[in-house]
Amino acid sequence: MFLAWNEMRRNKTKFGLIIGVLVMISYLLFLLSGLANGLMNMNREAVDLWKADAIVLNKDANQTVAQSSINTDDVKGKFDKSEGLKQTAVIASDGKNKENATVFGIDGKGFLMPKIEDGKLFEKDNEVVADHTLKTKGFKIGDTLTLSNSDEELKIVGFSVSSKFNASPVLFTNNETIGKLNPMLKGDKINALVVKDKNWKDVELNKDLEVDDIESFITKLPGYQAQNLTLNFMIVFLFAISAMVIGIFLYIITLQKRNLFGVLKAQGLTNGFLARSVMSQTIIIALIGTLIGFGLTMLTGSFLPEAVPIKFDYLTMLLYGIVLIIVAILGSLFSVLSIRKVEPLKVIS
Amino acid sequence: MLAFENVTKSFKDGNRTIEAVKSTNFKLEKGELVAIIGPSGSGKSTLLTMAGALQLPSEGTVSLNGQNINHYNEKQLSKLRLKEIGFILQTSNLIPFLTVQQQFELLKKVKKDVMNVEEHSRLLKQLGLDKILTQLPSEISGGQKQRVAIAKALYTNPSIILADEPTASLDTENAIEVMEILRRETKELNKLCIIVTHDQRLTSYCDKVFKMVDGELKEE
Repeated sequence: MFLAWNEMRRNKTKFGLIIGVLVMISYLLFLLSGLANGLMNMNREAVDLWKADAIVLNKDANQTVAQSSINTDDVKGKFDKSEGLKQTAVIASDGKNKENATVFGIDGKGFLMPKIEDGKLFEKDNEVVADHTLKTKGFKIGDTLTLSNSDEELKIVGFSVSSKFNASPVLFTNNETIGKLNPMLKGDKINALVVKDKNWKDVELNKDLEVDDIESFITKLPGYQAQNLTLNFMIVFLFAISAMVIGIFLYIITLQKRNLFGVLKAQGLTNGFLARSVMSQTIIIALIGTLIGFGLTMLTGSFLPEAVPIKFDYLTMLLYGIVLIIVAILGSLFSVLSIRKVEPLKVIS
Repeated sequence: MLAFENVTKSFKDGNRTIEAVKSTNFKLEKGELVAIIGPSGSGKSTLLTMAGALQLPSEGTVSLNGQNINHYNEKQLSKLRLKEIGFILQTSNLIPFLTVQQQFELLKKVKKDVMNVEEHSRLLKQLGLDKILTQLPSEISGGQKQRVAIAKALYTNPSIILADEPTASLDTENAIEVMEILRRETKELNKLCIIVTHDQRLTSYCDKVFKMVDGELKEE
């Protein structure tokens, strides 16, 4: 550490540049992770708020809620706790703003209804609680919404906490209202049954129905996996690139110090001592770079408009930070190996 | 103290075998300042590096304090160099990013039994280094650098000081000063000091002078 720290202190420009590269990498990495998390959240937010164990859908619906149709009688009383979900897609307008939205027809007092942050719960037909996203887009309590595919008008009576589903904001209403918007959902017909029952696997259902655990249902949401895989690939490649960048930088610095290492080895300093010095230098560089990258990410996050789907998960960021430091250490192994090859005799000769 | 018995060193150069050091025998004791002189390529540095445990002989035995070091592995040789040998090289080879004081601190971190504080202070004062302890190598003169290198070599309490052309990069005044310091410290601290040099004028400071010609060592 002594050798590593003093070298950095007295070569601020050289090491500042390496730290700068690491800051850029970690900044990009944290922003990407926030973006991945935000996009993931856009898809699953509403589902996560259910805190459910499983979901029952029609087998032919290919795991798509909107395409599924279930008779309430077929699933009645089968699980400890369950609620029917009706879903339809609309384009809602308040005269100024137009927004693609998902309407959920639910029992307002059940577990499918998220917490209301402003206003009140729908009580009458055609009243809706909109999710927080619409509030940020200029919609207000008391607004009357016209719909592109229906003559019905909906009135916003409250806003729930943010609860997007499949990347669109949600309008929560009662089952009668959604039946007016989509006649297929009138009466006993529901799209899905959301289940809260730890023993859901033991329940036997009609052969036309299938039950899936919530996590696997989420991963099958349209576009969810493709989007996640893309971003995760970018993150993995970023890790690989950072290992190479750090490795190359440290290797060049080590090559520049071959003579010095040769002299130190001649004086009796062991490979282990010199390797520890390079390693500690790498850890210091990676730690400073990652911390500054984290700070910059937080700063950027505070300036980004709400429309940017970014959500920071500090545990994931901590994990990525640790992986980045480990990856940097792996990159420094080239240098450690090259130190082993320095022959003091040749350097002295 | 340091003994060479029938020591040879040869290298392969294609199909040819070059005998850099021919069968060499000597025994040197603590308190002696020894010069090895000879033209370039005569094998002086090869001999010095064998004495410094930087390479092992092709044949024969190198013994240090009665211990045959021929069978030591790299790690044992490193340990031996750290414990018993102090190097002074042509160019001072100080660590560029450490101050004069920190050059000693580094040695203390890797070797615990270094000079005590009083001895060290005396050495620094004697070498005129006590005023430049906070300076970096780039901020001091060539002569000062070489004196720091000497102080470093002595600081770890080695039995042997090996100096390869220690005055080559110095002007006459500084070269004489370095030789006087080496002689004084060799005697006061009871070390064996071997100097390899081209410069015949330096031999007047030495107790023994060996001449190396074409790999053969002869005492003058």
